[in-house]
Amino acid sequence: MRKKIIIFLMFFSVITVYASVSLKEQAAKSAESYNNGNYEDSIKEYELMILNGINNPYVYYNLSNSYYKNNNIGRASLNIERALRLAPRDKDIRYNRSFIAKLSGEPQRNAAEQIVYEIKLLFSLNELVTAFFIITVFLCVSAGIYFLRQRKNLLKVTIVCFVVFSLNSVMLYFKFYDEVSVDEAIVLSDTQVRNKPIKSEDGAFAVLAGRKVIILSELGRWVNIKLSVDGFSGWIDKNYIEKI
Amino acid sequence: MFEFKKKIPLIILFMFIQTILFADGILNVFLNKREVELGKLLTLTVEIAQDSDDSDKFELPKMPDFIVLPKKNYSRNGKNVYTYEITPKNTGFFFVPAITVFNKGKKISSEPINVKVVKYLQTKKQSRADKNNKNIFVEAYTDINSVYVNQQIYYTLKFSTKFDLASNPIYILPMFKDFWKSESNIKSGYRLIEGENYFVFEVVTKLYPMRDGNLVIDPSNVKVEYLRYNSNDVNNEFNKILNARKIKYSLNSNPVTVKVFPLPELGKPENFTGAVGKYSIAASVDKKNVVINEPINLTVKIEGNGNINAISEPDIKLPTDMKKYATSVYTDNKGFKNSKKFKSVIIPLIAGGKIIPAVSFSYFDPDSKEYVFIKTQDIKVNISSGVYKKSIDEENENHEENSDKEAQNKDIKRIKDNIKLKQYSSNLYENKVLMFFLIPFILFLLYSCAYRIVYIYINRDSEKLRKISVHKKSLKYLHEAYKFMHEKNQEKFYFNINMSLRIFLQSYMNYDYLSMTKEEIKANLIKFSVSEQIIDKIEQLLKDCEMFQFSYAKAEESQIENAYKELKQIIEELGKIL
Repeated sequence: MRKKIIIFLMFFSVITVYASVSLKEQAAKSAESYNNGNYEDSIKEYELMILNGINNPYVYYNLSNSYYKNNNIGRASLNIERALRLAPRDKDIRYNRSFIAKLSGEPQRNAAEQIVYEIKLLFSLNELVTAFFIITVFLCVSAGIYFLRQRKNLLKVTIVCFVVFSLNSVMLYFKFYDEVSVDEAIVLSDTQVRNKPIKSEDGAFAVLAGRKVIILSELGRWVNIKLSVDGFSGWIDKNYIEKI
Repeated sequence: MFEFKKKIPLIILFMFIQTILFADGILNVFLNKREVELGKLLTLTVEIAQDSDDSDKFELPKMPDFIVLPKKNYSRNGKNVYTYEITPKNTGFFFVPAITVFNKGKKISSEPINVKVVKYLQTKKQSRADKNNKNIFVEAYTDINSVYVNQQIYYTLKFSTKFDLASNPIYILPMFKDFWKSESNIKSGYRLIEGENYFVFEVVTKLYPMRDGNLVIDPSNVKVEYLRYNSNDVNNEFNKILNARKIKYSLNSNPVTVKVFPLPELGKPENFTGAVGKYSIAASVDKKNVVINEPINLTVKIEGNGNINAISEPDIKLPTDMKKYATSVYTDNKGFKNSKKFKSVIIPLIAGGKIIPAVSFSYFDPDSKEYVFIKTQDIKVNISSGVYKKSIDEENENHEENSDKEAQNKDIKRIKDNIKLKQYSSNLYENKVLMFFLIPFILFLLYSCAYRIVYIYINRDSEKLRKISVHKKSLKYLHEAYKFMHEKNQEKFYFNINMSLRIFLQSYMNYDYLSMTKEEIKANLIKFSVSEQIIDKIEQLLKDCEMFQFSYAKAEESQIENAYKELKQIIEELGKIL
């Protein structure tokens, strides 16, 4: 039995090491294709990595760059948004996101909106969820012991934990609302947004590829969307957008 | 009856005209239209007097330019009427030949009728406004009714009224399905229509049809509120306005049909992107002598009277030693002519005389019905080898930390070559293991909370709680007393002082002081070894209360104030002792 377990563990570790080497090779190959100007090959490689389950902000970042160089602003924007969700404090990702947003016609935020936006980018959703679990454990333990023992020091710790817990909960609520409760999508190519979900309907306004939109509802192949930042809404063909 | 009398001259006139028309009419030939579209039907009517020789055996002469459909004939007013539906075979000018009949051996001929056959009928205005009410009406029309896909047309909604309006008209334009539309322009003012002064309100909208076929623009709606004056107030301007009634009125315009033709496939240039109208193109650079890496701003301006929004950036084929960065687009479609500017930054990489090649653009001209290819001139620029130094402004701009501003001028950051392929967990909030991990901690907190609550409940001092409750009640009466002291309500003041004192004593000594006499209270207080001074004060207060609360004796203001202060003092001092 012991032998079988050892063989299984060895087999598993060999597979893991092989997979990791293979991924590294794939990443290097993709970067080389990009540097040689073969953007289509680079896109294929990075897409393949993502298909294989890699969830890494820098893979999304590089893929976004490849799409941008290949003149596909829509998919460049989609992937940079995905990268930003995973690593919101990375300066390069933030810069590229800002650059592509400009190209897609996203209006400038006012000062107050910019501050809120910057606060939201302090932590990723996963970081906030992790912090929530850790702080909740601390709060439960310190408050629990305080209720049992009534020590003044424990009361101070509990109050600090409670304040941090409250701040974390507020940030988590807004982050969760933005990234989970609200369906956000990216417009993949320039198109018209219509007043009604009918093809022959008069175009309400145009949206450029790469623009971030909020999905309000769906009706068959039509999606009711609202533009992020300036808030105009209308109907768009499902094929023109992809969820982040 | 009076109405009928008024109409008698008209009836006589009508009968007279009819007599003249038919008195000499052996042969009458009518054609319902003189201009017709190819493929459309015309109605030719031939009326022959029944007493003529050919009345019953009339045959239409040969008409080689028309297809003649079977006739219909009937009799009316002593004439045989022959009706034919004819349709032209080609476009051009044709004649319906002279028709000849014989009457008593005499040859009678009609005049030939000329017909213009066009491929598509151009109508200047298509307006069938509801002008039943000449005082207030609305009409809608387009400047052209036969256009090509994406050709610019003006849709005008025109509201006219002789009434005085109480407010501005509210208009609702149709959805303009099948059209792109730009912003509407509004004009209003007074105009003479058939010699009368009307207030006219016009909404003009630029439209661009998106597909071919007969496109119908639904009716627009105008809502107004006008003033109806009382006929008695005609001579008095003030009363006229004062007594005017506001009448709400809603009007619908006529629908408008626009015939839209597809763009011809023949001769379509490769770089044609759908522009229809008349356009011009110009290109310019801000500087022609630069050093390597010094940015040159290239502006390409396309101007014309078509759907400028649909025009995309023309292809600029730069030599490989020049690099083009993102283009900013500026559109102006508010005026009579629309324009779009494409501003790009070009960076020369190698020194020498370079040429920015001509930028070309194609459009379809609906007047000449041809595709037109236009292009700018080549632009020569001299690139010298030197070091490009950014101006102070540019330097400052680059030092700004706002990444959004940086993003306006530069390219994206390059890729990360050596990325660490660390796997980021996806959606931790969906992780049930973490949720289960939290459960024991939450249960522990709940347990300790419950423990604390139970502990407090078990160790509570019920006597103390009762005392606190009664003490609060006593203070409430004291507060009331204070209120009545200021209101100078002596009876209520002393009632509240009495109640406050007795309830206070009850809260501390657990005796029912409310029903005791002052002597009994005194005896009790002595038992609780309260100082004589306080007992005297309490006794005095109770006496005052008895006297001023139930009798009509008037207490001095100073007495009332003293009573309040003393009670307050007693409560404070006894509180400390007890």
